[in-house]
Amino acid sequence: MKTTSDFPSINERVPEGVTNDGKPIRVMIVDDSMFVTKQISQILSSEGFDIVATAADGAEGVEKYKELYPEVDLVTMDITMPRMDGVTALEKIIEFDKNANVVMVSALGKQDLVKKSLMLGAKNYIVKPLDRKKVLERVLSSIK
Amino acid sequence: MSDYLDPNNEELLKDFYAEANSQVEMLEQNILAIEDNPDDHDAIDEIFRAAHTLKGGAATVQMSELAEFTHLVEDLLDEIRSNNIKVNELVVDTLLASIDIIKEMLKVRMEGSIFDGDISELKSKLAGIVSGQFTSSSRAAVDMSEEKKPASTKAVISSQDPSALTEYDLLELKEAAAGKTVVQVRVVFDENNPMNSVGGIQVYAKLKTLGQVLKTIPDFDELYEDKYFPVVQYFIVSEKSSEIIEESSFIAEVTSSVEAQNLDVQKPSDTVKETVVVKEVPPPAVRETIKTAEKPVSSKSTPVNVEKEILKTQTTVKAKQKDSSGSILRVDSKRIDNLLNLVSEAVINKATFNQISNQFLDIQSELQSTENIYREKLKSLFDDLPRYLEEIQKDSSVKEVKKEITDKYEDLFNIFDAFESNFKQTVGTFKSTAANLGRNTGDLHEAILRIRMVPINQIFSRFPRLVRDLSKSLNKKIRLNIDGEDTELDKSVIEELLDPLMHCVRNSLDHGIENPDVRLAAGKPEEGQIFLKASNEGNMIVIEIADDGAGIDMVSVKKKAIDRGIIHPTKNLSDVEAYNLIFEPGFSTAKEVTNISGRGVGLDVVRKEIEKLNGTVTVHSSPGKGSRFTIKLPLTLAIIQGLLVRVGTEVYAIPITSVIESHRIKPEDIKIIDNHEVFNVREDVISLVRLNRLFRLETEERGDYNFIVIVGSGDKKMGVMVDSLIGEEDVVIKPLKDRYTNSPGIAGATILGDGTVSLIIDVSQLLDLCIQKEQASRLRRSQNY
Repeated sequence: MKTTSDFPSINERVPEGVTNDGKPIRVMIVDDSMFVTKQISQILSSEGFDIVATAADGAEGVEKYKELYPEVDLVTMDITMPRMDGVTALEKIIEFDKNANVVMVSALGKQDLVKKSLMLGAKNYIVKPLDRKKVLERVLSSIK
Repeated sequence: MSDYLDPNNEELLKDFYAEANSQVEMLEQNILAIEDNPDDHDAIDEIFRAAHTLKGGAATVQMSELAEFTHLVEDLLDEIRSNNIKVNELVVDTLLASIDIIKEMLKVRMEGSIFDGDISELKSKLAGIVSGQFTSSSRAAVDMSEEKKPASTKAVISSQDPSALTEYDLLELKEAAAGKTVVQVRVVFDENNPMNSVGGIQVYAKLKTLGQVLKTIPDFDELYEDKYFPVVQYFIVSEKSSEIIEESSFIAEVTSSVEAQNLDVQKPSDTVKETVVVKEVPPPAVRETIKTAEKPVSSKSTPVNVEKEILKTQTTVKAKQKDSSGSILRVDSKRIDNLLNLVSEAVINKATFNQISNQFLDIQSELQSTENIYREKLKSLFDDLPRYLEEIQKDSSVKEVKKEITDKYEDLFNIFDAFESNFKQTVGTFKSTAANLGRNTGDLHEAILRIRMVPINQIFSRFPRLVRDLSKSLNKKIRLNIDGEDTELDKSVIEELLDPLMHCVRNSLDHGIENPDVRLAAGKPEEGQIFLKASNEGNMIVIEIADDGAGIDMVSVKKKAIDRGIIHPTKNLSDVEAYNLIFEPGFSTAKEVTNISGRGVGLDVVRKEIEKLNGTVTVHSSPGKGSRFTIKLPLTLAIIQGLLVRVGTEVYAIPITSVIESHRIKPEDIKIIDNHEVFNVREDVISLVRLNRLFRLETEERGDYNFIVIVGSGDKKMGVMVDSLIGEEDVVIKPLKDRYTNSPGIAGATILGDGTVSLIIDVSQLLDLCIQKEQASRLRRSQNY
C-alpha cells in the first residue's frame, strides 16, 4: 500500500518488508514443513515482503538460490530437513554468495546448531514456535 | 592442545586432585571464617589465594569448566578483598554454593566425565553480586543491568573488568594485537531469550565481521557450549570505532546492553598482584580458527537444577569424602627422610651382619685348623708315650722326661686361646649389632606408622560447614569450637571415624542444643556451643564432642531402658551407667524422628563403629549444662600392645588398652553370688569369667593361685581368669578368615615371636557375652519365681 501524500498519516504504518526506496524485500523460505512455510509466508507477506520462492529441503533451497541469484534478498532456513539439512545448505549458499542473508529457523534445543550456523555466516535465527513480532524483528535485523 | 602438558597424565591429575581438594577445603574453612568475622583479611587473602591456585591448576590440567567457574568466584572474591562488596549472608551462601559446585566438578572429573550440570543461575548470581546490583534472583540482576545508565555501567566496567584479566592475559592480548588498539566489548545478554545460550556466539559472529576477535571471557569454547552467560566480554582488534562496534553487536531481544571501550593494553591492571598462572596458550587467533573448524557439534544433556545439584552434593557427602581422601596419602617429607635414614641404618646393620658372618666363617676355619694341630700333637703325644716310658725305665729321671714333654706339648693348653678371643669378640659384635637392629626395627616400625598418621583435621575440617548448614536448617544459633585438630591418627582409623563423629555432632546439634528461645528462658546465651576436641592420651587418642545444651534427661532414659527391657526395674544404676544406656541398641530418646540425627539408627551404631576400631565411647551429662561424648581410640589399628596370657596350652592376647589391672588370688578368694563367681577388689565386686570355660578348653582348674585380669570397656568391668600371665608385647593384628570371625570374643589373631598363633580377645564383645549370659540367667530365675 503506497501513501498518496508526501506526509504519511501518523496513523498509517509503513510496512516493514519494504525498503526505503519502496521495493519489497524478496524472501525465499526453505522449510520441510508446509505449516511453518505458510506461517512465515503469512507473517512476512503481511508486512509487504515478497515471497519469491519456497523450498522443501536444503538441496532444493541451494538450487533455487543459485537459480534466482541475485534476485533474493533473504532466506529463512529451517535447520532440520530431509535430504540436506539447513546448516549444510547455509554453508553451500554462503560458499556461493558470501553476502547472502540467511536467517535460521530452529526449534528449541538446537542451540549448538544455531551457534554453528552463526559462525558459518547466518545473520540471525528465529526460534520456533514462531512469534510474529520476533520473526519480523529478526528478519529485519539481518537485512540491515 | 598443549604439547608440554599431557592432560591425561595420571600422575599430574592425581596431584591436581589432591591439591584441589585441599584448596577447596581451605576455601570452605575460610569462607566460614569470614562469615563470623567479615573483616578477617587473612582469611579473605587465603580464600583468594586458594581460589587462584585452584584456577591455575584447573587450567593446567585443562579442566576448563572449573577454571572458568573459579574465575567467576575469583571475581567476587576480588571485590570482597578490595572492600567493594560487603560480606553478608547472601555472599557467603553463594560462595558456599559455588564451593559445592567446584567439589562436584572435581568429583565428576575424577570419575572420568565432565560436569554438565546447569550452573547458569549460580553464575549469574555471582556476576550479579560482583556488579553490585544483586536482588533476589538472577533474572533481576540482568534486568537491572539493562536499566542501568551507560555511565554507571561504564564505572562497573572499569572497576571490575581489569580484574578478570590476568597480567598474562593482557600480555597475550598485547602480543596478538601487534600494536593495534584492542577494543573491549562487554555485552549483557537477556536471559529471557528462549535461546539465551546462543547470544554469545551470535555477537561473536557479528564482531568477527568487524575485526579480529582475540579473546573472549568466558572462553570461546565455553560460549560454544550450551550455557547461558549473563555477561560476555570480547576483545577485538578493529578499525571501526567503538560506537560502530556497539551498534552492530547490539541484537534486539538477545543483548540487554553493549559497552565498547578501548582497552589499555600497556598498563596491566594493578589489582592483580599474584604470580602469573601458566596456561596452555597457542596464539589466540590460531586457537580460534582451529576451534571453529574442529569443534564437534555436541548437544548437552538437559540442564539440571542447581538447587537439586547442591542438595545431592550434600547428601552424598559421605561417598564423596571417601573418594576425595582416596588412596592418596600426603606425607610430610621430613617423615620420609626419617624413614630413609632408618632404612640406611638397617642397610648398615645388614652389612655388619655380613661381616660378622664372614668372621664366623674365618673363626670356623681357624677352629678347624687349630683342632687339626691339636689332634696331631695329641697323636704324637700318644705315639711318644711308650718312648717316654722306655726312657723312664732306662733310668732317665722323671723330671727330665716331664720337662721334655712340657717343652714339646705345652701349647696344647693355650692352643684354643686365639680362637676363643676371636670368637668372643665376634659374638660381642653380633650381640651389639642385633641390639642395634632391634632398635632400628622399632624405629622403622614407628616411622612407618607415623607415615600413616594424618592430622584429625582431615575430618574435623568438615564440621564447620556441617554445623553451619544444620544449625541454619534447625533455626538454632550454634558455634563450633574445634581444638586439637593437629592430633594425629592412623589414616584407616580416620576414615572410619567420620561417620560416628558426624552422628555424635548431629546428635548434639539436634537433641543437645535447645532452641534459642528455650536457651534464653533458661538464662543461657542464645548461641549454643559445640566443642570438638582431640588430644593424645598415651597410646590412645581422645575425641570429645561436648555441647552446652540441655543435657540428657536421665529420668526418661531410665524409664525408656526399663520399658524396652534393657535394664531390670530394680537395678540401681550409677549416673554414668544410666547415661551410657543411650548406646544400647533400640534406644532413641528423640520424641520425633528428624532427618538430622534420628533416622532409626541410634547411638548404638556409633558405639559399634567405635568398638570396631578398638575404641570406646562414653557419655557424661549434667542436666541443663550439656553433655559430653568421649571417644577413645588406639592410635593405630594394625599394631596393638597386648597382654599375653596362658590358658591351658593356648596363649591369648588381651589389648592392653582394655586391661585395668591384674591380680593373683587364691581359690578361696572367689565367692559365689547369684550363681556367679565374683571376687572383691578393694570396695568393688567384680564378676569373674573363666576363659577356659568360656572357650571350652580342657585344663586343670586346680592350682595354688589364680590370675585375674580385670578388663573394662566403657564403664563395664569384669575379671578374666587365666592360668598365668606371660607379659606385654606388641602384637600385629591379622584379621581372621570369615569362618572364624563369627566366634564372639575374638578380635583377630597374631603371630608371636616363636611362630605360634595367638588369638586376640575382643574385650567389649566378651563383656557383652557375659552380660547377656548374666541377663539370661536372671531372666530364668525371675521366671521361676
